[in-house]
Formats: sequence, structure tokens, C-alpha cells
Amino acid sequence: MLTMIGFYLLSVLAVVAGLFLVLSRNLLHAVLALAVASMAVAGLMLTLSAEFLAFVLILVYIGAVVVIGVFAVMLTGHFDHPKLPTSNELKGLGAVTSLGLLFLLLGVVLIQPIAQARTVAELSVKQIGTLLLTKYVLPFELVSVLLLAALIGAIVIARGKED
Amino acid sequence: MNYIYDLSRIVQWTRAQLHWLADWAGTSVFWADGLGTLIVMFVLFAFCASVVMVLVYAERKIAGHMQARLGPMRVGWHGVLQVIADTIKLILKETEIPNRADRPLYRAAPYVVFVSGFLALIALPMDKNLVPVQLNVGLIYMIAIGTPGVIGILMAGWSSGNKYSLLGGMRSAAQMISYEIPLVLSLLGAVMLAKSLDLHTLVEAQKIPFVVYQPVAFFIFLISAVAETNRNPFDIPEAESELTAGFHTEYGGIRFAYFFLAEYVNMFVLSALGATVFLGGWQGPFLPGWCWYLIKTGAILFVFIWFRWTYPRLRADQLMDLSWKVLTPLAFINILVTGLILVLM
Repeated sequence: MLTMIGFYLLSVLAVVAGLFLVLSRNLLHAVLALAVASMAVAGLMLTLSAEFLAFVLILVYIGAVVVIGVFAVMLTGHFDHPKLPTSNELKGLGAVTSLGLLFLLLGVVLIQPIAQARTVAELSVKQIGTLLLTKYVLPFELVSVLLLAALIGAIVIARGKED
Repeated sequence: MNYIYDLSRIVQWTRAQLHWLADWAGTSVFWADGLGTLIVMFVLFAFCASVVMVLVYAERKIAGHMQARLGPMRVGWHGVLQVIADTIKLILKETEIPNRADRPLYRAAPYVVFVSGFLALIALPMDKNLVPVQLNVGLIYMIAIGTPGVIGILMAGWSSGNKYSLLGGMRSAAQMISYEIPLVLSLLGAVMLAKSLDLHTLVEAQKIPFVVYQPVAFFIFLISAVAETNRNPFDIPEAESELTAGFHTEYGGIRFAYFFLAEYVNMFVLSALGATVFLGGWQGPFLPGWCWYLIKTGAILFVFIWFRWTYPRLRADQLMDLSWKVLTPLAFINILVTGLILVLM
């Protein structure tokens, strides 16, 4: 019962934080709302007993993504203006993408009931590790190469032009 | 084992009493366990506060004697009540908010920093049967739950509306992120030896403490832990001569007290993590487990304090060089060698 209450409370928190993230006119507040939303989603994963995923989510989203976001916002300067637009010219494309994603997720939820998702989530770290290095080794390596490319790209951009 | 000193008996006894109480009141065990959780949180908070008080006193005394001074002497016998007097002063002080501050963030920041340090404490095994929350990915939890602290420091630095605070906050965050990497990598060697991420299993696997097999990793862990807590010789984020006091320049009263508390709690958590992963945690002869846990943690804490009063401050570029060019590659080599030996054996 406690899990159910927690699940609904955290869902509401995640949605409210998400809305705040999109609608806030203060960029720094928006980035911090992302941290709250990630925390709430990690909590949701805990109620579905996916502990490993929850902690990795906190580590990656709060420890890396949000921190980088905060740094970026601070270094770019004007982050707090009452007339700061909350959307841009790609409104139409954005709407299509989000609606498409919404229908896709609804489809997945309707096909796969929550009760079933729960048993799937109870994978141990050992099983996840084994799967990553056997069945999913190719996607895993591809992601590593992509991240390495991003890393090298960041270094090249940060170094600037030497002579 | 001499069970008067075995804390887990007290815990079991309390649980039994709570269940009896639930039975008597005719409610379900659910509420008794809820009340139990609250009590555990309260006890841990009290533990946290007392540890910080002892640490602050120890730090001032050790500092004094290392510099051929006496340290605090006036309040109580050899100044033992000095910390309590300071705490009362901090609580009674007026808390003010600067005009240019971002008020909600400014108010929230100290608690974010403190809570993220405090939450890490609940997963540490203090004795054979004394683990507040046992998680099978305890080590990942410990690392993950510390990360909101960095956000809290950035929040404090930015929301103060002061350039010294902002610079200090950004330096702190950059340093904490850089040293998080060698810190986590150094723990991996021990994880490979124990084949588990569960802190309890990690301790039980150490018939011989892992520091014997992983001396390099322990060395990297110690240096990174000092840098993680922003202490001397890695304290450029709050270098007094350049930045007044870093991210908490504008804070006073109880809010400053929370930052202070968080700093020492983080120090304790990292030392306890080192004691658990490398020094065998609660395992040891003669004394009960929680005594060994405290002795080993205390030993690492003493080294931290010792560092502070021995080394001069590093320059910012030397600091980053040490993390990225020395400690991180060394930690990777350590993992590689550990893996090779494990495969060959």
C-alpha cells in the first residue's frame, strides 16, 4: 500500500517538475527542476524494485547532466529575464515529436501491463552485466564509441585553434 | 561475544517492543515498522550531530597541538564544551538573506547539501547485524546519493548573488566532479575481489583487509576523498585569501551551521566508506564490531586532519593535473592489473 501511495505521489512530483522545467522563464530554475524530476523518476524505479537503475539514473542525470546544465547556464550569462521565450521556431516539429512519443509510450503501456513490467525490472546487477557483455555487446560497444567521439569532440572544441 | 556491548541486541529488542506495542494497540505491523523507521532516522541524525561535534573538537585540538598551541581551553575541561557553545551561538544568530539573492534557492541550498550527505550514512554497515538499510547495490547507492550535494553547492554559490560565492561554488563543483572519477574507480578493485556491490558482503569477504591486496587503490581513495570534501591541501574552492569563504560567503547562523555540518558528515561518510571497503569494516578481534567500525573510521579521519595541517594548498592547475593525469590513469591500471591477476589465478 505504501508503495502505491509513493508511486502516485512521485508521479505527480515528476509531472509537476517536468512542467516547471518547460514553462519556467528562469533557466537555472528549469535545470534544477530537471534534477527534481530525475529524483522523482528514480523514486518511481525504487517502487518498482529496480534499485540499480534508480541509482544509476541519479548518478547520470543529477551527477552529470544537471551539473553540466548548471555550468552551461552560468557561463552563458543572461539566464533570468521576464521576457525570455519558452519556445522557439520549431514549435510544430516539437509538437509532432512529443505527440508521437506519447502515443508510442501509451501503446507500450497498454500492451504491457504494469504487473508484468515489475517482474522484468527485478533483474540483478549480475544479470544486467552478463546481458550487456553477451546479448547486447554490440549496442553497448556502439554507445561507448559514440561517447568516446563526443569526448574527443568536446576536447577539440575546448582547445580552440592553436596558431 | 560479550553482548552488553552488542548494539544489534538493542535494535532487536526495540523492534520486539514495537511489534508488541502494535499488537497491544490492535494495529498492523506496518505502523510499527513505520515508527521503527522514524526512530532509526532520529537516532542516525543524533549520531550524525554527535560525530560532527566530536570531529570539530578533535580537529581544533589536533590542529592546536600540531602547531604547539593548546587549542580551545576555556569552556569546560580542556575546552570540551566549546563546540556546544559555538553551536548555541550559531543557532541564536540572526539569519539574513542578501538583497540580490535568489530567495528560494538560497534557503534550500544548505539542506540539499546536508541531506545528501546524511542519506549516504544509512547504507553503511556498522556491525554484523547493524545495517540501517541493506541494499544489494549499496556501493552504487553511496556514490549516487552524494551527487545532489554538488547541485546544492552550485545552488548556494549562484543564489547568493555574489561573485566570490559564484566562483567558489563553481570551483567546488568542478573539483568534486573531477575527483569523483578516481574515487569511484579506486573502489572497483575491491568490488572485483569481493564480487559484490553489497557493502555487507564486501565486509564479510575481507578475512584479510583489502588494503593488503589493493594498496594503490587505497592510496588513490584517500587522496580523492580529501579532495572530494574540499579540504586542505585541496581547498582552493574556499581559499580565504582569494575568495573570502567560497560558496558559503553570504551564509550565516543556522544555514551556515548546516553547511558546516554537511562538510563534516561528508568527511565521516567517506572515511567510513574507506574503512568499510579497504580496512575490513566491523571485522576485528576482541572488540565488538561497531567499535572496530568507529576505530577504523577514526583512523582515516585522523589522517584527513593530519593532511590539513601538514601540506600547503595546491594551485588550481596542479589540482586538475593530479586528478586527470595521475590518479585516474593509475586507477585504470589498478583495475587492469586486478582483473589480470583474478583471471590468471
